[in-house]
Amino acid sequence: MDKPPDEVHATGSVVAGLGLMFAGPLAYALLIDNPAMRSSGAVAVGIMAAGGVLTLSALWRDRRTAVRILGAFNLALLAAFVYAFYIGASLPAPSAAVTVETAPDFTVADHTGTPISLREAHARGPVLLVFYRGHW
Amino acid sequence: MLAIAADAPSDARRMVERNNLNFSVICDTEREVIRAFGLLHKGGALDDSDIAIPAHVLIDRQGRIVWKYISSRIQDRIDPDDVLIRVRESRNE
Repeated sequence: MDKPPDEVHATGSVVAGLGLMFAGPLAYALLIDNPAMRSSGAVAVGIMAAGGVLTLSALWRDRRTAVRILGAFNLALLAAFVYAFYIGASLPAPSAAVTVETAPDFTVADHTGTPISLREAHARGPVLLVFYRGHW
Repeated sequence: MLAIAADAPSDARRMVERNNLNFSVICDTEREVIRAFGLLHKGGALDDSDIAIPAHVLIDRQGRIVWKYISSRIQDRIDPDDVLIRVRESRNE
């Protein structure tokens, strides 16, 4: 027969859920060199979602205050990660200029001080221009 | 291949040395190229300065933009293998 809710202890589930909330971002950091994982965050979110399911099952079975507080904390971590990853990290849409067909020419110095002309560069062959956010 | 960002030359030099990069890193400190390509992210850096939206732009011999990939999120980057496929295509044209 089922025990009444106040006698069921699901401490293990809620603690495991907390572990998975930290394991997700850790896995993301370890897999950051894989472009698909870096972009999608699928592994991190998958691990944290599993933590979310464990947490919800613990909250459903175990109604003690401590479990509720830790469970709420777990779910807050999940929500914060998803928000930061998919919404907080959004970039602005490019303005119209990049939709033009012809690349705007420029001459700007590179890291050694040598002037680089786009027109001269593409005359020698196709140019891949890689815009990046900055060094670190 | 040319890399470009709003970095100061000293920062770019350090990055080139640390990573043994064998291509030019353009230091668009005035953000003129970034702006001309429509890729300015106002206040995008941690110190609130304006930086580039990460993007790959492939330009053919005539100066036409034949392909581009613009990141929609900070973590969003195209797979380098996909970029190489595009570059090989543009060389054969």
